Amino acid sequence: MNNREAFRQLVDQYKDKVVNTCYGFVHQKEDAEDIAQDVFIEAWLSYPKFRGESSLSTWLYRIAINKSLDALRKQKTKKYIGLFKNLLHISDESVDNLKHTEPNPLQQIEQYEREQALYKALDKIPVNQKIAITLSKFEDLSMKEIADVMETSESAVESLLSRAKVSLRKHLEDYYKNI
Amino acid sequence: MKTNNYNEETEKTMQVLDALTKVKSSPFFITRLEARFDKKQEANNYSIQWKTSLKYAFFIVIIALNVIASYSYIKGGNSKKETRESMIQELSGTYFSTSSNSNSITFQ
Repeated sequence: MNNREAFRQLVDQYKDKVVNTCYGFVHQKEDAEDIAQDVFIEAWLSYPKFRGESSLSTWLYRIAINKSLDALRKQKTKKYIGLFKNLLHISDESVDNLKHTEPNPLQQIEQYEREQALYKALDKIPVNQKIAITLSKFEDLSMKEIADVMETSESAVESLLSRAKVSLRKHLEDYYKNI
Repeated sequence: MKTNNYNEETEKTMQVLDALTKVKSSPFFITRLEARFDKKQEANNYSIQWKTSLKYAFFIVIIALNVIASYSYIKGGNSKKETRESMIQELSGTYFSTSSNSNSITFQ
C-alpha cells in the first residue's frame, strides 16, 4: 500500500470522530472541518514521531483538542481586533465569519436554541472541564478513554465531569435569569 | 414562579447534553484535504530545494575564499622571501665588510 492510500485509509477511518470532536469546541461545522484537516495533515507529517505508547485514536484526539483550542484562541484575538476595528469604523469580513450559521431546517428551533445556550455555557467553563465533557458527551468516550487522552487518572476525569456539570448549570442559570 | 422557570429551563437545556447532535464530515472532506496536503507538500519541496541551492552556493563561496586566501598567502610568501634575502645581503654588506687594507673583519 502506498503512502497516499494509507493516508486515505487513516482519514476515512477517523474523519467523523475528529470533525465531531472539533465541533464540540468550535460549534461550527465549517470551522470544525478546517481544523480536522489541519489535524490529519499534522498527524501524517508527525507520524514518524508517534511511538505507539497510546492508541492511534487517542493520539488523534489529543491533536484535535490542541488544534481546536488554538483555533478558539485565534478566534478570540480576531474578535478583539474586530471590536477594535468596529470602534474605528473599519470593516472586516473575517469578523463577520464569526457569526453563527443559520439553523439547519431539519432541527427543531427549540433544540437548536438550547444547544446554542449550552455551547455558550461550554465556552465559559475551565478548559480541562470543557475537554472532559466534550469527549464524554460529543464523542461518548468512556472514563478510561478520556483519561488516556488527557493523560490523567479516571478519578480525575470523574471529578472534572462532575465539576463541569456544576459549572454549566451555574452559567445556564445566569443565562436564563437574564433573558 | 420565576425561580422555577429558569431552573426548569436550565434542566431542560442540561438534558440536551445527553442528546447532542453529532456532525459528520462533508462528502468532499477527503478531496479537499488531499488538495490541501498536496499544496503543503509542494511548498515544503520548494523550500527544501531553495535551501539546498543556498547550501551549495555557500559551500562554493567558502572554497573560493579559501583558494583566494591560499593564492595570496603563497604569492605574499614568495615576495617576503625575496625581501628577506635582500635584507640579509644588505646586513651582511653592512656588518661584515672588509677594509681594503686589512685582513680583519670590522664590526660596525
